[in-house]
Formats: sequence, C-alpha cells, structure tokens
Amino acid sequence: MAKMARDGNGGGQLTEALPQALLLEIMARLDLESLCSLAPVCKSLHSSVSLRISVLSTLDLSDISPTICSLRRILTDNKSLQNLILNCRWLDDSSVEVFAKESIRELVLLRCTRFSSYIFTAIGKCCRKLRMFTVEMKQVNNEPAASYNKSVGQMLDRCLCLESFSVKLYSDHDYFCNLWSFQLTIPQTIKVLLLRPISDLHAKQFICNRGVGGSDAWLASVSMPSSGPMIYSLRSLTLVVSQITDELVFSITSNLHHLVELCLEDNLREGPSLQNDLTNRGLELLGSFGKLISLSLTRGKKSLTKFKMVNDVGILLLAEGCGRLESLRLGGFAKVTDAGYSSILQFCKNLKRLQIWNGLLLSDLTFHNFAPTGNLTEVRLVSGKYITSEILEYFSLCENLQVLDLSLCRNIADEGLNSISRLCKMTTLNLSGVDISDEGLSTLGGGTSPIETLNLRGCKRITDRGIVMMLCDSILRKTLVTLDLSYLSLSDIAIVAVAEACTEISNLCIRNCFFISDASLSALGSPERTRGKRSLRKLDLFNCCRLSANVSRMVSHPFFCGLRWLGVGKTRFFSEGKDAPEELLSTKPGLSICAMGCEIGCKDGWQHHAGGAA
Amino acid sequence: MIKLVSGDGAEFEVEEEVAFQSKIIKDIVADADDVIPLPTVSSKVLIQVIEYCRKHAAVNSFPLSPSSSAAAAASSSSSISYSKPVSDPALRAWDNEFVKLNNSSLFDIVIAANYLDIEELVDLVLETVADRIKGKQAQEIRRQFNIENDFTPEEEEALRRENSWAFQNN
Repeated sequence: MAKMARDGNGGGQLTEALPQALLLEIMARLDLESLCSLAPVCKSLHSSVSLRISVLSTLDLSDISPTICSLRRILTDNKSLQNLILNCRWLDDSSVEVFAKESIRELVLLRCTRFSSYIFTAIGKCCRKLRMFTVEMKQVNNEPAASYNKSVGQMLDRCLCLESFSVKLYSDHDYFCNLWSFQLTIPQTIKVLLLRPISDLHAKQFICNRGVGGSDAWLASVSMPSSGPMIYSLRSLTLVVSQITDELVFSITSNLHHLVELCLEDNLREGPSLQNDLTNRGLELLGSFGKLISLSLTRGKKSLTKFKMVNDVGILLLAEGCGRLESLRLGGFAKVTDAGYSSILQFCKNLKRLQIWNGLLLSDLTFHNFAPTGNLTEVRLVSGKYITSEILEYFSLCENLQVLDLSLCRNIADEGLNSISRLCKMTTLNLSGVDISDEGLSTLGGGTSPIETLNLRGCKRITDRGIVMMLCDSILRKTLVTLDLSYLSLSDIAIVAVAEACTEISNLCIRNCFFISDASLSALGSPERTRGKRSLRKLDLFNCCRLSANVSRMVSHPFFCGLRWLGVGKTRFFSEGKDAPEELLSTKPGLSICAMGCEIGCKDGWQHHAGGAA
Repeated sequence: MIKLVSGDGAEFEVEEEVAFQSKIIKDIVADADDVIPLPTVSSKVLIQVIEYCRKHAAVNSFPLSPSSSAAAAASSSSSISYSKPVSDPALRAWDNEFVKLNNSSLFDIVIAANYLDIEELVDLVLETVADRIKGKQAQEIRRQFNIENDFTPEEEEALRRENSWAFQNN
C-alpha cells in the first residue's frame, strides 16, 4: 500500500536538490534494474527514468523475457539504441517493428521460438546500420529451408555494413537437418560468420562460391562476379556441419586467407562414412595454413563415433605449424595419446586456452616434460579418465590460471586441491564428477582463490559436513556467485549453510538432491536473507522429490525477490492445485518457470519449449 | 594566492594550484591576486571543496609521494600511463573517506563542484550517489533519500502492473 504523503519537509531531495542534468548523470551510472526500482519511488523520478530510458544506447535484456507490451514501453521513445541483447521467448514476428530501430548497430536475439524467417527480411529493411547480428532461433511450423535462405539473402543485401553474422537454427527433430540447402552468398564485408547447421557439402560450396544458384531471384540480383572466393575477408568462421571432412578443411584453408579463428563442430548421428572423415591430412592442412590464433575441432558427445582417422601424427603436424595459436579446443579425438597432446605444449608457446574434451587417452604424462606456463588462463580437460591429482601440482604453478575444468576426471581426488586453491586468479573451478571428499572441500574453502563459479555436481563422497566446512570462515562466502551442488546426497543442513553464508550467490543448482525439503527453500527465499546479500536469480530444483506441493507458495511474493528462473520439473510443483503457477506468474511476471528439466536458465533446452503458451 | 569569497561572505585564501583544480577559476583568473566571489556556494560547502582540491592539487603536483611511489612505479612500468591521479590507491582511499557524508551534503558539494567545473569531484560524488541507489528497492530508496511517495495507491498498482517484469525487487 502506498503511504500517505508525509509533511513536505525534506521530501523529494534527490529530485528537488539536484538539477535534472546531474540527476540524469547519476542515472547513466545505473543498470536497468536499478532504474526500474527508482521509477516507482515518486512521480518526478518516474519521469526522469523514462527520459533516461529513452536515450539508452545499450540494453541487455537477456535475463528478462519481456512481452511485447513491456518491450514497447521500454523502446518506443528510444531513438539512440545501438546495442541490444534481447531474450525473445515471448516475442513473435510482430515485435520486430518495436526493436528493429534504425539506430541499431549490434543486435543479439536469443531464444527465438516464435519467429519465422520473416524477421531477417524485416531487420534488413529497418536496420541499415547493422554491424553485428546474432540470432538463435527455432524453426517454426517446419518452414522450408528455402524461405530462410531467401530472407537471409534479402537481409544481407540490405545491411551493407554488416561485419558479423551468426545464425543458429534449431529444429524440432533431434537429428541433423540442413537448413541452408540453397547456395548462400556471403557479402565481402563479413568478417565473422557462424552458421548452424549446414551440410559439409553446402559449406564447401559457399566457401568456394562455385557456380551461381539459379532458383533464387535474390541470387541473380547480386552484382558481384561469381569468380573467385567472395568471402576472402573472413576472419572468424564457425560452422556446425554434418561431418567434418578433409575436403571441408581443404576448401577453408585454400580460400579463406585471412582466417584467424576457426571453429568446426559436428554431431554424427548416423553411422559415419569413414572414407570422408577428418584425417591426419586435414590437420596437416590446418598446420601448414599456419595463421590461426584460435582453433576448435569438436565432435559432440552425443555422436555415435569419434574422430577415428586422426592419431598423434595429425596433432603433431597441426601443432608444428600453429605456433601462433592462443586458443585450442579438441573434442572427440579418441586415438590421440599423450605423445600428440604434448606436441601442442611443445610448439604452441602462446597458448592461453586449452580445452580437450573426451580425450580418452589423455593422461598426466602430457604435461610432464613442460614447465608450467604463465600464459595459460583457461584449461579444460573434460572426461580424461587417466588424469590424476598429480596434474593439480602442475596447474598450481600456472599463476594466471582463471578457469580450471576437470569435470568427469574420475581419478582426481583430494590430494593437490590444496595447491590449486592458492591460485590467486582462479574464478571458475569445475570438479563435477571427480572423486573428492569432505576433506577436499575443507581444503578448498581454506584456500585463497576467489572462486565465483564452483561445480561439485555428482561428487558422490560429498556430504553436508563438507559443504559446511568449506564455507566456514572461507573467502568463498564472499566470492561464490554460481554454485552447482546437484546429484549429491545433501540435506537441508548444507543448503541452509549456503543460504546463510554466501552473500553473492545468485545461481544455485540442487537438482536431484533427493533429501532436501521445504526448509531449504525457506532459508534461500526468505526476505530476511536478502538483506545485505544478493538475491537468488536462478534456482534449479529439478527432481527434488521431497519438496512439498507448497513450492509455488514458497516462491511467490514476498519470497525469492528477484528470482528470474526456476526449474521445477519432476517436483510436486504442478501436481496439486493446477492454477498455482498461474497465480505465481501474475505476482512474478519476470520469472521463467521450466518444468522440462532444462539446465539452469534453459541454456541448452530452450528450443524444446513450446513457444505457444504465454 | 587567490581569494575565494563564499555566498555568506567568508573569505578563503588558497594557493593557485589548489584553486586551479576548478577549470572555471583557471579560466577567469587573469591576475594572481584576484578576488573571486562565489555567491551560490556557502562557506560550509566551500571549505569541503577546498579540502578536496588541496588534497588533489598536492597529489597531482607530487605524483611520486612516498605512499604512492610504488603504485606509480607499477603503473608506469605497464604500457598504459595513467594521467588521472585517481588511479593512485592512497588517493582513492582518501576520496572514499571524503564522501562519507549524508546525502544533502553530497548534493551541495556536487552542485558547487559542477558550478566550479571540478570534473573529478563531480564524478566522485555522482558515483557515490549511484552506489547508494544500486540494488535497493523503491521503498528503501525512499527511506534513504527521504522521498515521499506521491503516487496514489491506484497509480502505484497500475505502475506495478505495467512494469511488473522489472519490479521483481518489490
């Protein structure tokens, strides 16, 4: 209830004492959220906030999924918006006219589940100054590939300043589909390109730009000559293809002479045709190309097969030529051993980021003969089953290490945690599925690393005691922002300890913790908790089966202020009192509720959500 | 020496380099013995502003004071050269102490600093005020700045509904 006006004494200081210009200067230092808290304070602040919002040049709406009404309210009067990141979950084609401003230079559209290919045409028409465009969208109503190609072509024809163009398309079908089935002509201005998905055949075609497709009218209107590669100025290329082949690599290295970043990914679902698969020859081509600063070659973990035609020789040939490499990610190279991997450390002296996913034969030996390097800032060795705690000693001497990911390296144990917990720049540590115990956690808590993101998913030996010990007098109380405690046999004791100790925590995942009950939720969401602490933004409760049907009441106002995402799949959230969620959504319209079991924020499951229900 | 005269008639003699922290004074002073009337600035506020200018003038003219020499050496060894004295941690700490004032004093200072065109001081105060708003809910902001709610309950409800996605904090 609004308070009745007090005696005018001293009221309205902020607005009356300060000239408008200074007030706007203050607002320029506030994020959107603070501005929105300021607006309902009083009438004059409300109008100042409106004024400020109308001149915003940068806006990040990735965590909030605005409806078209709220989007209109924010953007209608704005003529200066240049950078926009927009979560499009509730938006359809009709919203394009609201956000596609003429002034926009950089546009990122996330989680588009209701857009048709029309948006490309519309954005091309409105945003002529666009320099950077990124979209992740789901194919709706099985719209044919041809219409995507046509409207993308129209957009590329009109946005003549475009330098960066990224399109990720997802379809309902889980298997690979090719949405770029017509020939695509990429304008010369483009320096950064991402396409997902594309068949390797079509990828090769557009890279070499052989032949002019006849069926599309827009292609015929392109005035550039078709001889020679048109996209020679490309500096960064990311393709999610049907299969990474030597031929594809060949067409890239022989046509794209300015390329410095290359990322190729495939997910083979069918039995592979091994005669075309990537071999040592492909890696040799990349090695002799020699210009790459960043390289990523991955075969997704859902693939039925690995890169079987590449062995240590291929990696050696690659590493030898890639002395400039600063970032390398390799995934799914099943036949590469320590001999191959150590050649990377030997030749790529500038390496800052090293990621090896599913390196089945990777072991500590890779690192044995090399002095720890101060260059390394990020290391991810995922599912390396021969990686042991000994490797931690090595990394503890890489003083600039910020990210260390050893998830699913099941032979990592408590030993060595002491040394890495002294890394003074480490902000992300992923130990999911490793063999650490409560004592290890205690060591970690006693360290000095300012860890913001900590993942302990599925470390089976961890109990409540470990969590409590970790947080006792620890630096982590002030640094932890994102914490994953899922698949652990924790009780309310651990969760209450987290709620009380961690002042900055905003993302918490406790999915599949069967023993936690309503007490944890009360501790996490009580209005008292948020005094002097940051409020929780994202909470994953998937399959926390002991939670009662009261969940919806426990997350509604005034509990869990500021919650943006809630994962409640397989809880009793929906089973009793079916209109409870409706009620909840009306008091918390900024909250997204996921009942499908997506990971936190629906980051890799959003495309499976029905775009329909509002 | 330059003589500054506050709105309530008090006179302050300050060294040139202190007064010249203000761009306006720097621009209008022709003669070193000038008397500059500042009718809109009260003596209470002027004392605080002079205190700030004196500190910053001292640090600016002796950038390698013992307390900050290590930091200055460190920053000069890197390729970026900081011209702004605020990169000096000792001075920043001093600034942080300086702004531990109530809101109305801060507002008076920022208005005076804005008038005198002392850019760094304006920045410092505005940043401080912004920090006092960040992360707070509307009700807390009202309390902090002693602002009365002039919306009717109906208006407030309408506002809440129309912007509700953003008012999660309420």
